[in-house]
Amino acid sequence: MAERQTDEILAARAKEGDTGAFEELFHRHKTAVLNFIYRLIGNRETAEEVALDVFMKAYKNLYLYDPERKFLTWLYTIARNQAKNSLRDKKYFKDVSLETQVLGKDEAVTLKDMIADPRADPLSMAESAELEGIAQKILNSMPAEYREVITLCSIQGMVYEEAGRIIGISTAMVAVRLNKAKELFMKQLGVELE
Amino acid sequence: MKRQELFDRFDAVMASLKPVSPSVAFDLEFKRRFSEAVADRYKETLYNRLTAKAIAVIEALKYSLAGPRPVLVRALATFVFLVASGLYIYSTQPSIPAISPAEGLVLVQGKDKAGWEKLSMARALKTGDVIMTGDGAQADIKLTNMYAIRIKQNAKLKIAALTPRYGKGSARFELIEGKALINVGEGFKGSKFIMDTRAGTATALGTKFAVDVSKDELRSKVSVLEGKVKVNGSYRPKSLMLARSSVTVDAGQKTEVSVGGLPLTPQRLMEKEWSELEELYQLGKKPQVILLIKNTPDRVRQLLTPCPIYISDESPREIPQILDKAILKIADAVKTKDNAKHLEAIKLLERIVEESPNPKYDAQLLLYIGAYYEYLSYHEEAIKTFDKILIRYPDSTLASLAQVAVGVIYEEKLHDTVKADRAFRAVLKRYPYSLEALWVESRIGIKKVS
Repeated sequence: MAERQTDEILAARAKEGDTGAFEELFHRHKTAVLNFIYRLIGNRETAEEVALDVFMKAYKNLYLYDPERKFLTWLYTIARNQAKNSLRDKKYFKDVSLETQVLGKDEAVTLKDMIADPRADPLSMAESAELEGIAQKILNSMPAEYREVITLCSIQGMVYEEAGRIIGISTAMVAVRLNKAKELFMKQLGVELE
Repeated sequence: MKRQELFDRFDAVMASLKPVSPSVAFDLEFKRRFSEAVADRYKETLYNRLTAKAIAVIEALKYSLAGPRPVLVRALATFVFLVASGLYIYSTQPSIPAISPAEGLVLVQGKDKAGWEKLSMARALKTGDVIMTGDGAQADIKLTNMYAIRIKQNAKLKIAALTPRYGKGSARFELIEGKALINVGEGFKGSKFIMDTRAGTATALGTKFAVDVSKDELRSKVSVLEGKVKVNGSYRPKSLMLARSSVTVDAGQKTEVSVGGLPLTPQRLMEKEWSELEELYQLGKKPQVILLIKNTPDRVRQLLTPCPIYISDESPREIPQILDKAILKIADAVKTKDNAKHLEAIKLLERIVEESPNPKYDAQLLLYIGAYYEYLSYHEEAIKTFDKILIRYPDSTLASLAQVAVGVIYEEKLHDTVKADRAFRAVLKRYPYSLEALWVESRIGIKKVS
């Protein structure tokens, strides 16, 4: 069996004209890129369109890619820019004021009880479809810079250093921004710090 | 709530956000857009190379034409240069193969088009076109005297490059999935015929062969019926750098290559594989539907006897398979002398003409159906059927036969002399030089209408 090649080797081969190598990269990262964009813009159909644009842009700009750099970071940087352009062009969501209440009164009460309850089982929370819908709704309502740190670090599990490289800020700044984002998110859910 | 507890709860909420999976359409759209991007990239590289060459030629000419030469010499040189460039550009335009659907659903996607177009009749192909065949479908690509490709069912083939109109070059195709049979003719000698797949490349060395890409697109099988084919792997891992990268497959042999691997040592074809490949000998043949009647002025009598019909159709079939059912039904009806079965057979024959119209056999089949109705004494139906030929194929060499048959039925069966006379006169007027015109003249003494 042929040994698995690193992204960087595949990207270098794709740069030399090996189309199969680029297809391999696409299959490796399509789900991650799609999810990143989906969480940023909150619309599944548009996310697929944008994700395709990302891969096409990456292919066309392969000559700019430096194989010394991590390919995934480069790909995510393109994805972030494309998603931002899409948000700007299409105005899916406008950043709302940090004080705006996103949820309806009833929704807020039920969820607040569920989340604030120390006996609530994290597993059953993870399985809750209702919670998933609301979490995405809140995410959509948050400022873009918070959405992206949450998506990269809390949803996709990226380390701060890598997230910082994609966003173009320092590791410390990522940590600060993520904490603020978490607090705001929970506030929108009706759960606040004491 | 304390900060740490709040963050733990936040993580639990985040866990509820399940990852979404890309849809099937997403992958398909990627394939389409990616192949376009690859073609654009190739074109761009080629364009840059050509531009560089053109600039070099112009610079050289400028240099040679500069200086104190007479105006006439300069004008002549420019003229010669322009004519030569024109001829060169014309001759380097790609040759244009044609594609025709043999059976089933065949779709073509033009290079600059987003959607698929159903192929209902033969059309010219261009570089960048992609052809897709559905379940049970087949299509033939043909460049006369050069090569023919039969694309089997559930296959996808892309035209990557075509040979120039004059001179030698390369014809390159990419078999994305499915199977294709290839027949490279004598006229193609000196040019290169290349079939790429994801796993490897097959280069014809004057030959008849088949390429079959597995469903997962990771393996390609090459089987050779005549001549030789060189097969290369698309990519050689470093560990195999010293190994032989290509094999030559002789007639009666096959090989297989997987993505990232080397082609296997050629092996003999099994008997079944041989017989599958023999379809290659039939590429380019046409269906034949012949009414077994003598070409004499009284052929209307032979037609209405009724006459036998001869049908031959090589694979891929152009005549739909309902024909087989119709033939069995006719045999059964004749044996059991059952009128209802005869009518069922007629309906099946009519479906061939109505659902799969084809000028190669429509007129013959309609004549046969008309004669069949007449044999069963359905005179009105027979006339209606003959009329269809007069409307759809008025210029067919069989139209005069249909016209006179209408006259004979009106006169002899329906005893309508007015309509019979009108039909006979129409033969003389519309087909004055036909065999039927002679028959009408001699039989009823009507003279040609000038």
